[in-house]
Amino acid sequence: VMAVNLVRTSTRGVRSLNQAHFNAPWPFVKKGAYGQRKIGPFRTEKNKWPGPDRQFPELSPKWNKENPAILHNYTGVRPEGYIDEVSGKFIAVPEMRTEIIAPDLTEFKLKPYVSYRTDVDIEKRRKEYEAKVREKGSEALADLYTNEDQRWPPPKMTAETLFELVYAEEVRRNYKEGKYGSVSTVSDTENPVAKSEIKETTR
Amino acid sequence: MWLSPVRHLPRIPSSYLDYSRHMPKKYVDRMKRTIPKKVFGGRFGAPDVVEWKIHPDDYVETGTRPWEQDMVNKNLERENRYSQANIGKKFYELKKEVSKKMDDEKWHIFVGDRVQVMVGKEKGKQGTVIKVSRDTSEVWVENVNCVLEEEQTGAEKFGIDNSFRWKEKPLSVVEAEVMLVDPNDEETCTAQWVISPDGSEYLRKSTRSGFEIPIPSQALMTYEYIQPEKYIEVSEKDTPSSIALTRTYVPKLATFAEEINEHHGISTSTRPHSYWY
Repeated sequence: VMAVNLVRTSTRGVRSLNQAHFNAPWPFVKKGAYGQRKIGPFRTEKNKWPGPDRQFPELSPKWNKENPAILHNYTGVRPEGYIDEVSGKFIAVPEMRTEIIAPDLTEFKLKPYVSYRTDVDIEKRRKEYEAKVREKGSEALADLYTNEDQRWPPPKMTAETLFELVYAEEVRRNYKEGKYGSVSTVSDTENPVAKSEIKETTR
Repeated sequence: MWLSPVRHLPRIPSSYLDYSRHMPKKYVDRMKRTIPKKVFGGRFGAPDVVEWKIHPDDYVETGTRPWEQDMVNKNLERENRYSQANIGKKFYELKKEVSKKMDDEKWHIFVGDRVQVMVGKEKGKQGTVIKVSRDTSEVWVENVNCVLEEEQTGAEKFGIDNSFRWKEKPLSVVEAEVMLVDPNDEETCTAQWVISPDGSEYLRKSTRSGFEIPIPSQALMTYEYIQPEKYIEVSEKDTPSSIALTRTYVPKLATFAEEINEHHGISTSTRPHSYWY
């Protein structure tokens, strides 16, 4: 019986028209196959089929008799210890006990919901900013004349912005002084300007 | 490429103005019962088999909101009937009603607007809109198209004299039973959405005269507030707008791992290499 099902698959990458290569996307089921030759799911597996009478019963590990005996008292709770194999007694392990760590929220200002007035404020800011863009002609110009915290949509954090904040000032100063070479190493982020080693080179 | 200086496109007010606009979709669907009862997945690439509480094709939109008591009862009854038919292997025909919902561009009537009835014995009568149903494209007009209704059904059973009251019935907008009234000349008109000169909002304008018909303030009302600016914040639950909109992010040249290291006081000598491409 097995020999029939064995398929010789080619190692040369040549496609075969053997039906084994054209499997159905789901297991092929023959209804009412109770005889000696059984293809498809068996009687016990049929519990899992969808159907009007018998839906998928979630196989509870606790109540299913086919499951191992250890699971019969299964409650879904994590054990806080283990059963010693020698003495057969339960030994509690303090490290296994669940600990709920809740942060202190006394000074915390955020609440579970956001006020509906936020929408009004956002719309107000957006209109102001768009009016500014229309007045000045471009976004770059409008940004100069609006408070960054009052802009909507808020300015995006791009690689360019980060470069401006961290390196640009130093690069500009060095350019003015005619210094070229490596900028301060990235590891000394605390005071990048003071620790910088700048080689003086001529053009 | 020519880019418009204003990137934000305004929304047409009819797409969002509704007194239940803050209702979460999840809740609405749960009240409609158009949610899956069970999803049979894991079918090796074949699509999931979904069993519904009420099949979405079976749901019939009405002027009553799905969370109102009558509608909840009706939907639960319908759900029960559907499930009984499934269990009993009975044939159950889905309603598959064609939606009467009009497009947002074509919808111009809001609560508080003045409209005129175009059909029936009250033809030519004008009144104020008190209720709007977008799903069925219907409108209820104050003291127009009324029927006498029992104030309390089955009151005579308890020995109480039954009293009656006038109750408005809906008028369809799709079938042109009502038309908007232009406040400038008090005559019926069709309206259209025109983008304002500065491009910041859509204005409702009369097609005939070209005058703007402002949206009444009643249309802004929701379950939460009468006007968005006058919303009363709940001190224990709502984060105030000023706090919600503050920017707290401080940009820093560090990877996530480095920030965690710094937070725990772990010093590392090496930084990840950066490359120029």
